[in-house]
Amino acid sequence: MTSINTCAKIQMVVLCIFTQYIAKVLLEISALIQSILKMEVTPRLLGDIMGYSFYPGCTLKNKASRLEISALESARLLNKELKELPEWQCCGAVYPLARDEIVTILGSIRSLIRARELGNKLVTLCAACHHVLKRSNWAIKNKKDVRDKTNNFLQDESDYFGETEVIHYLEFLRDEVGFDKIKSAAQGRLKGKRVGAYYGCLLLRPEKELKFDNPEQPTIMEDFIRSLGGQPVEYPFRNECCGGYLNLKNPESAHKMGNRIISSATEHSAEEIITACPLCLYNLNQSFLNGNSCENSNIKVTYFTELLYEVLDPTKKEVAYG
Amino acid sequence: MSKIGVFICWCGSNISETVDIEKTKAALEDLPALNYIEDYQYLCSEIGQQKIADAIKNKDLNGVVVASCSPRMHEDTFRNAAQDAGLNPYLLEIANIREHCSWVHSDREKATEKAVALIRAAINKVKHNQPLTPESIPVNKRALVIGGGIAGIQSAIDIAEAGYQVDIVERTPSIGGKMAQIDKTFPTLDCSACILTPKMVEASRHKNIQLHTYSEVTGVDGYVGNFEVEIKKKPRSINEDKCTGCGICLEKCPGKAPSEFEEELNERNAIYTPFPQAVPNIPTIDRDNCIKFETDKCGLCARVCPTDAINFDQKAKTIKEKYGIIITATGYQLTDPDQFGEYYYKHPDVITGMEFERIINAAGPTGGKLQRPSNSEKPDRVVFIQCVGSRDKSRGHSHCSKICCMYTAKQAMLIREKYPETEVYVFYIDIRTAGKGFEEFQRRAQEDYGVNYVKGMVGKVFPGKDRLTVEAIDAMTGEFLDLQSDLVILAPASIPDGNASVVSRQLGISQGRSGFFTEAHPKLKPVETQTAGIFLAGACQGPKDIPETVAQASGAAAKAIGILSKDSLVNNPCVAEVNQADCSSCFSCKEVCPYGAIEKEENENYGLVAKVNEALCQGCGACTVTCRSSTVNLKGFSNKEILSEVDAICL
Amino acid sequence: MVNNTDKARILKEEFLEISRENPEDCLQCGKCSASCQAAREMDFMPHQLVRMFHKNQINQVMNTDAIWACASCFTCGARCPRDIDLAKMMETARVLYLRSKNNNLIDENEIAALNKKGLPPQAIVAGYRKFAK
Repeated sequence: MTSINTCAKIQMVVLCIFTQYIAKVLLEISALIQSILKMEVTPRLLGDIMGYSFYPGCTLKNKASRLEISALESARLLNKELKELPEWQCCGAVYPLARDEIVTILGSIRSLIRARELGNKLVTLCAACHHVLKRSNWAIKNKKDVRDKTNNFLQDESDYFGETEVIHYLEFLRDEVGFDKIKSAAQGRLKGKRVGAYYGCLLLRPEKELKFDNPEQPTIMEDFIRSLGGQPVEYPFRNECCGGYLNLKNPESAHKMGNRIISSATEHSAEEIITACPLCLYNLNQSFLNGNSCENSNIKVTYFTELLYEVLDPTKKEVAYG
Repeated sequence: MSKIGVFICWCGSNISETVDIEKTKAALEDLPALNYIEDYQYLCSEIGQQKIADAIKNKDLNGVVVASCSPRMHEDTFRNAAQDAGLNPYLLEIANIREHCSWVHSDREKATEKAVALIRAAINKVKHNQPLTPESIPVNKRALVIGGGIAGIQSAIDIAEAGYQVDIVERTPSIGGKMAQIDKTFPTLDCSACILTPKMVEASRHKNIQLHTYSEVTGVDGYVGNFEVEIKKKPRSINEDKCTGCGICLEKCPGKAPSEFEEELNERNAIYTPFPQAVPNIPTIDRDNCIKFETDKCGLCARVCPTDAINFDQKAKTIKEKYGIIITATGYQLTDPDQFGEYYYKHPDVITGMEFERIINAAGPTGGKLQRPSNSEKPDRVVFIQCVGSRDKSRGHSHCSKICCMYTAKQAMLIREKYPETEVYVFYIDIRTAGKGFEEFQRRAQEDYGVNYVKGMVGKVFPGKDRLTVEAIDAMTGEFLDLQSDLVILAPASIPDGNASVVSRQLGISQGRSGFFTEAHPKLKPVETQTAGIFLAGACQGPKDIPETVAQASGAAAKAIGILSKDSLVNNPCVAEVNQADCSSCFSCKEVCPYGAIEKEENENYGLVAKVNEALCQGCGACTVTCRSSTVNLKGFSNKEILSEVDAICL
Repeated sequence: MVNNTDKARILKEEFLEISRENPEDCLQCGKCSASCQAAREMDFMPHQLVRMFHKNQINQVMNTDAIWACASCFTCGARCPRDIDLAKMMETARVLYLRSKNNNLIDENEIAALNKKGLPPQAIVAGYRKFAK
C-alpha cells in the first residue's frame, strides 16, 4: 500500500515538474514568436542577417592599409561582419566623364555584378572607389545607352541593371550601426578633442548621383566626430578640393590648394583633421612639407577609421601596418 | 424647313489663295437646305456684316453658316450681326476654312475639297441648332480682397471710392504687408512707411471698407456675382470694442518670441502689435508663446489694462459672407537662402535684403545703425550678392525676380550715404533696371556713390575667425577677387507667399511655374483669372515693384467695378442640360465636373436626378462624355449636332 | 564671331557627342570660375572656356594649359545655376587632345618615380587615366 502511494506520489511529482517544464518552454516559445512579430524589419536587422560585402580597392591593400585595417577591426568591435568581396576588380580610380568611354567602367561593373551574386550591400571605404562605383551604378540605372553597351560588352555575365546597393563606410556607420551605438561604445573617450572633418570632393559631388550628404553643408562626419566624444570643427574649406591627381603633374598647384585647407582648419582651431580618401591624406601631408602658412601648425591628418579604432580600443595605440 | 444662308469669306487672299472659292460655291449650290450663298473679300467688315444682315431679312433665313477665320476671331462679330438682324445668334455657325484649311495646306485641289467638307458639316450642324437665350445672374455688390498689403489696400480704396462695400481679409495682425518693413523705396528714396501709412489709415477709416485682420479665408463656394466665403477670425484674446490702443499691456509682458516683422533679428513680446503704426492699433496675444496659455500663470496684461479689454477665453469665430467678386493680393516672400549652402546663410553676418531693410531702418532692431549682427561693430566692407535662387535652373527658380537689381542699388547707396568710409561691392550676372528713372538711379550708385559693381558671381563665402572671405571673380577682366568682408547681403528670389497654394485651391485658380497665380492671358488679361469674378493684384501674380503693384491693383479694382456696377450678369448659354426623364441617377457627371456645377435634385416624377447649375457651368462637356446613357447634352453642342457634322464629312 | 568653318563644326559635333552638355545654356555669370580652386593656375578661366566651346573654338581650348590644371573636383557643375556639367566639358577637351596627338603626357618612367615618392596607387591609376590614352 505504502509503496503504491509513494510510487503514485513520485509519479505525481514527476508529472508536475514535467508539466511545469513544458509550460515554461511553451511560454518562452510564445514570447519569442511575439517578439518576432513585433520586431521591425530595419536595415540594421537585415544587415545583421545578411552581412555586408566589403570592397577594398587597390590602394587599401598597400599604401593605405591603415585605412583598411582600422576599418575592419572597428567593424569587428562593433559586432558587424564585413566580408571582402571575392574577385573584386580595380574600380579605375576615376569615373570616365567622356560618354563614349565604356570599357573604362567595365571593371567597376564586374565588381558590382560579383556583389549582386551575394545579394547584400557593398561597403566601400576609399572615397574614390565610392565615387566610381556609385556613379557607374547610376549610369547603368539611368542612361540607357550606357546600360545597353555595357551589357553587350559583358556577354559572359548576366545583364546588370544596377541592383547592387553601394554605400560608404560612413553611411554604414550612420545607418547600419547607428551613431547612438558608437556613442555608447566610445564613452566620450575623445574628451572634446577639436577634430575637423575633411570631406574632399569624391564623397559629396555630384549630389544627384552620390546622394551622400548636402555637398555645401554636409553633417555626417561632424555627427560621427560627436558620437566619438570629440568637438567637431566646422571650417569652410572642408569640402574644397585638395588637388587630387594634380599632384602628379602640377604639384605646386596641388600644394597651394592643400595649404588653403590646412590654414582654414588651423584658423578655426582644429587639432586633428580626419579624411576618407588616401589621395587627400597624401596631398594634405605634402602641404605641410611645402606650404608656407601651415609649417607651424601642429595639426595631425589621419583617416577617420583610425580615429574610430583608437576610440573603440584605446589599448591598441598603433595599428600594425602592412 | 431649313433655310440656310452660307457666306464664304476670301479673307483678302488668306483663304482665296489656297481655296478655290468658285468651285466651293459650285459644290454647295445643290444642297436642298441651302437657300442662299454669297462670297465676299472681308466678311468681318461693316459691308460684309451688312450683307449677312440683309440676307437674313430678305431671304428669311433661319440659319447662317459663315465660312471664314477661326471662331476665336469673329464668332462674336457675326453673332451680333445676326442678332441685330433678328436671328437668334446661336443659329449661326462658323466653318473655319482659314486656320483649319487654307493656312495649313498648300495643295489647292485638296484644300478646296476640305473646305467644302467643313462647310457641309457646319450646314448639317446648323440644321439641328436650337435658339438659345442667356440667363441672367444677380450680382452681390460687395467685394472681397484677400491680402492686406499695398496691392490689397489700393484695390480696396478704389472699389470703396466707387461706392461699393469692400472687406479686406489679412492673415497677420495688421495690414501693410512687405512695404511696412521696407526702409526707403526706389527710385525716389521716399520713406516707405511714410507713404504707406496714409493709405493704411484711409483704408481703415473709409466707410465702405471693413478690415478683418488676424483672419483667414477657410472656404469659398459659389460663382461670379455670388461668392459665399467662410472667414475664420482667429482669437486675438483682446476685446476689440474695449481696447483703446493705449499700449500699457505691451510694456509689461514677460513672454518672448522672435519678431516676424523684424525678420527675427530681435524679439517681441507675446502680446504685441507688429509695428508702431499697425492698423488696427489693437494688440494680439501670440498664444503659442504666452505664459498664461502655457502654464496658466502671469496674466499681467489683464491686470494692467485700464479698460479690461483682455479676454483669455476668446474663441475663434467663423463668419460667412457673400461677395460679388474676389481679388487676391496675397503677395510674395523671399526664398530660403539655406538651399545655397555655399553662401553660408547660417552665419550671423550673412543676411537677406529684407533683413538689411530692418537693420538700416531707424525704427528697427539697431535703431538704424549699420552693424554686423555677430559683434555689433560697424562693417568696413559690405558685399551684395545678386540672383540668389533667381535665373537658376539647378537648385532655385528659373525666373528673374525683377526687383533685386533696384533694391540692391538702393541699399548700396544708403550705406555709402551714411558711411562713406565703408566699401561696398555688388556682384551681379546682369543689371536689369527697366522702369521709369530706374537706369539713372542705378547709374548714380556707380557714378556718384562709388559702389563697386562687378560682373561675376560669388563662388563661396568663407567665414574666418573674425571676417568673412568672399571668393569671387571679375568676369570681364579675368581677375580673382578674394575680399575680406564684414557683412554679406544676399538678394534671394521672390516667390509667392507660403499660403498661395491654399488660396489657389480654395478659389479654384491655377498656379504657374514657381507658384505664381496664372492670369487669363499673359498680354491682354493680366489682372483676370480663368475663373470669372476672381482677379489678381500685386506680387502674387509675378514679381513686381511698388508702382507696378499699385497700377495692377487699380486695374483689378476697375475690372471688379465693371461687374459690381451691373445689377445682373449675362451668362454663356452653351451649358450642359440633363434630360431628367432619362437620368439613371449614377451621378458620374457630378464626380467629373471641374466646376462643381452639377447638383442632386429631387424631382417629383423622376426621383433623385442630376441638375446643372447654369451659372457655374462653363460648358466644358466632361459630363456629356461621362454620362453612360447620353442624357446630358451641351446646349449648342448636342450629340445630334456633333454627329451630324461627322455624317457630313464622312458620308 | 562663331567659327563656322567645316573643321570647327565637325570638332564641335564631336565635342557635343562626347560631353553631352550644352555650352549655349551658359549665362557667363562666372560662378564656376569663382568656385574653382584650381582656376588661379589657369591661363583661361573656366567660364571663358565655356564661351569658347559655344563659339566652336574647341581647338583653341584643347591647346590651353587650363584644361590640364583642372582637378575634376566637380565644384563648378555643383554650383552652376544652369546645371552645366563643366567637368564633362573639360574632360572632353582633354580626351580630344590626347586622342588627336597620340602623345601621352605621362609615361612608365614617371610612374615608377611617383610610386617611389609615396603616391597612393589611386593617384597613379588616375594619372594614367587622365594624362594618357
